[in-house]
Amino acid sequence: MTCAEFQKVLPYIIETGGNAEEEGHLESCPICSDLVQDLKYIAEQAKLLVPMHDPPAGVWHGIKGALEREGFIRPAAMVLPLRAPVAVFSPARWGTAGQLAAIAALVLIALGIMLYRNRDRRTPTHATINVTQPAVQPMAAAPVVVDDDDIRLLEAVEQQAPAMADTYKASLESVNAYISDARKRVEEDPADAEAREHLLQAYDQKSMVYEMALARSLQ
Amino acid sequence: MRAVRNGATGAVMLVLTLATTATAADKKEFKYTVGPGATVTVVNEFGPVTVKGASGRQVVIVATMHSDKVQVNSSQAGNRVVARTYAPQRTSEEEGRVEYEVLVPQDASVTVRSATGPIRAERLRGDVMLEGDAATVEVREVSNAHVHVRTVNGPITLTNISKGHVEITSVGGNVQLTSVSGPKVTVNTTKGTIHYSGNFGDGGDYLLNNHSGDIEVLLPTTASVDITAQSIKGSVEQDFPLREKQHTSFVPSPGRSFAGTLHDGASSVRLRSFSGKIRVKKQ
Amino acid sequence: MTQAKKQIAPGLSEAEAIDRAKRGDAESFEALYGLHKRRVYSLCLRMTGNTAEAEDLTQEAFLQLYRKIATFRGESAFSTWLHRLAVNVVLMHLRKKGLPEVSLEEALEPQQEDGPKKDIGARDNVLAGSIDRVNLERAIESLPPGYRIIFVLHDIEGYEHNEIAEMMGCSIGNSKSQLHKARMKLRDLLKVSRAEKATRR
Repeated sequence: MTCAEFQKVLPYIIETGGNAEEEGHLESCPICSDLVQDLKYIAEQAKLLVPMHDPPAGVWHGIKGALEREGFIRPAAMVLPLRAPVAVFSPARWGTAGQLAAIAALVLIALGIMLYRNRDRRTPTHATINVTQPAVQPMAAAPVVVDDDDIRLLEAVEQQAPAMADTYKASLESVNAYISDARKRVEEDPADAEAREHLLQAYDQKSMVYEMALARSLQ
Repeated sequence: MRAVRNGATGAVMLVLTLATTATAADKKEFKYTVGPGATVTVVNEFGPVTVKGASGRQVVIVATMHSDKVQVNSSQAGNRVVARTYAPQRTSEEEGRVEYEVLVPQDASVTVRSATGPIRAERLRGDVMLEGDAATVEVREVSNAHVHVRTVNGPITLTNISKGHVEITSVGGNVQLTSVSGPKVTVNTTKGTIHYSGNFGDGGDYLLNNHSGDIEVLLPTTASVDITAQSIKGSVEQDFPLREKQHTSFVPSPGRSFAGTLHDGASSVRLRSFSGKIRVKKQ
Repeated sequence: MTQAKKQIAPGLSEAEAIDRAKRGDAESFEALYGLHKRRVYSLCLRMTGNTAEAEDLTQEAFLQLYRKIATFRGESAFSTWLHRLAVNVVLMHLRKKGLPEVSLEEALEPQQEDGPKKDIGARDNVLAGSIDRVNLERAIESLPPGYRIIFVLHDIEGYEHNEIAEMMGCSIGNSKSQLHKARMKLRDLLKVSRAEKATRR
C-alpha cells in the first residue's frame, strides 16, 4: 500500500481503525504515522478548549428588551401560577384571610393585565403575508398575525422549503388568533383559569410551529 | 475496514448508499439485525413512510427513489438505525419523492419525520414519535408504548392504541381517535376538530383541547368517567345522565360547560375548547 | 451535580429557575442566561469567526430558548437542549448566508487538496506538545467556514458524524471528509505558526 492510497482512506478509518493492510502501512510508514499522530493530537487538544468568551452586556439587554415586548417576562411579584386552582378565587371557601389573599392575587393579575395593555396591541385578523417583503414595523392597529419574528420564520421556510410556505403561513395565522383570543379573555376576566390554560396552550402551539419550521429549514 | 458486528454490542456499521444512474424508480434495500429495544429513525422530506412491526430481530428498509437528484443514506450504530433522504440541491416534490417501507421488530422505538408523508405506523410495542408538517399520519395497533405525533396541519388518525402515553399536537389537522386509551392521553389542536370514539378506559387522564375546532365524543353508556367540558365562547351538549360532582367549586354554565360522573368515574376526562362546539354522544 | 440541585443564584437551583422562567419570572431568565451565556457565545463565535454575528446569534438563540421554554419537559439536560438549539440557530443563519454545501463529488471521490501530497516522501516534526490553546483558537478562526463548522461541531462540541450529517443535510462520509480536511488545514497552520515562532527566537 502506498502513502497516497493510505491517506485517501484515512478520513474514514482514523477513528475506527483500518483493515490489516492499512494498519500494517501505518505501523511501517513514519510519514503516515506522524500524520495520524498529528491529526489525533489536534483532535485531542480541541476537546480541551473550554468556552472562554463572554458576550458583551448589550446582548442581554437586547434579549431582555425583546422578551418584555413580547410579554414573556414580568417582574417576580406577577409570576402567575402554572395552574391557578379555581378555589383561590372562591372567597367563601377560604375565610377572611383567604379572601384578602384572593383579592391580592386578583390585584396582581390585574396589574399584569395592565402591562399587557401598555405593550403594542395587535388586533386579530387574517392578514395576508407577503414573505418577500422586508420586516414590517408593528403598528398599534395592525393585524395581529405578522410580527417580525413570524416574517423571518416564513422567509426562512420560503427559502429552504417553499412547498411548505403556505402551510406555515396558515398555521401561524391560526395560532396567533388563538393567542389573541385567549389573551383578550384573560384581560376581560383575570379570574378565568380556563382562559389562562388556553393562553398557555396557544403559546405551546406557536412554539411547536417555530420548532418544526426551524427543523424544516435546516433540512 | 475492520469487521463489524451487528446487534447491541456497540459496533458501528456504515452503509453509504448513493443514487445510481437515473432510472424511472430506483430501489434500495437495507437490512440490519438489532437487539431488543432498538431505535429506528427515518427522515424523508417528500413521500410516504410506512413502518410495520414484524417478528424477528431484523430491520428492513426499502427505499424507492424517483430521480437521481436524491440519495438515501442508511447506517447502523449499535442498536440504532437511521435512514435519511438527502438531496444535495433543493428539489421539487416530485424529484425529491422517496417511498419508504420499513419493517422493524415490534419492540423497536420508531421516529419518523416527513414534510408531506403520508406516515403510517402499525403493530408496534415500542415508542412511536411521528412528525409531519402537512403529512397525513395514521397509527394503529400500538400497545404498552408512548405515541407522540405532531403535525402542522396534517390530519392524524389513531386506532387501537392502549396502555401508553399518547400526546397529539396539530395546529390545523383534524384528529380522529378510535379505541385509544392509556394512563395519559392529550390532544391539542388550534383549529383542527377532535373526534374521540371509545370508552376513555384504563383509569387514565384524558385532555382534549382546541381553540376553534369542534370536539365530538362517542361514548358507550358503560364508560366509567369523571368528565368536565367547557367552551368559553362556543357551546356544549351531552346525552348522559351524569351524576353531579360533589366537593368541587366548579360551577356549570348551561350550554357552556358541564361536569359529572358516570359509574365510578375511573378515568378523568377534560374537554376544553375556546370557541368550538363540544358534543358528547352515546355510542 | 444534578440539574435539580445546581445552584445558579442564592437559593435558586437551575430546575427552579427553569420552572419560574416558564411562568415569566425575569430574574430567572437572567439567571439562566448568566449560567449558559459563555458556552453559547463561544460556540457561536467559533462557528462564525465573527464577533458581531456571534452576538446576534447568541441573542437569537436565547430568545428562541425563552419562547420555547414552556415545551422543555426535562427529557434531556437543559444545557444539552439549549446547546442543540444554539447550533441550529447558527446553522440556519449560515445557511441563509449561503453556507458552502458539501458537494456530492467529494463523497464519490474524496480529494485532499493539500497536506498529504506535500508530506509524502518528506518527514516533518510532529506537533505533539507544541500546540498552545491560543494558537489553536487562532488557527481554527482562520479555517474556511465549511471546515470550521464541522471541526467545531465534532472535535470541540462532541457531536457524532451521524448527528452532524443530519444537522448539515450532508452524508456521513462527507462529514468525515470535511473534518479530515479541517484537521489537515489546522496541521499546516500550526506548523507554520510554530516555524514562525522558531525563527523569531
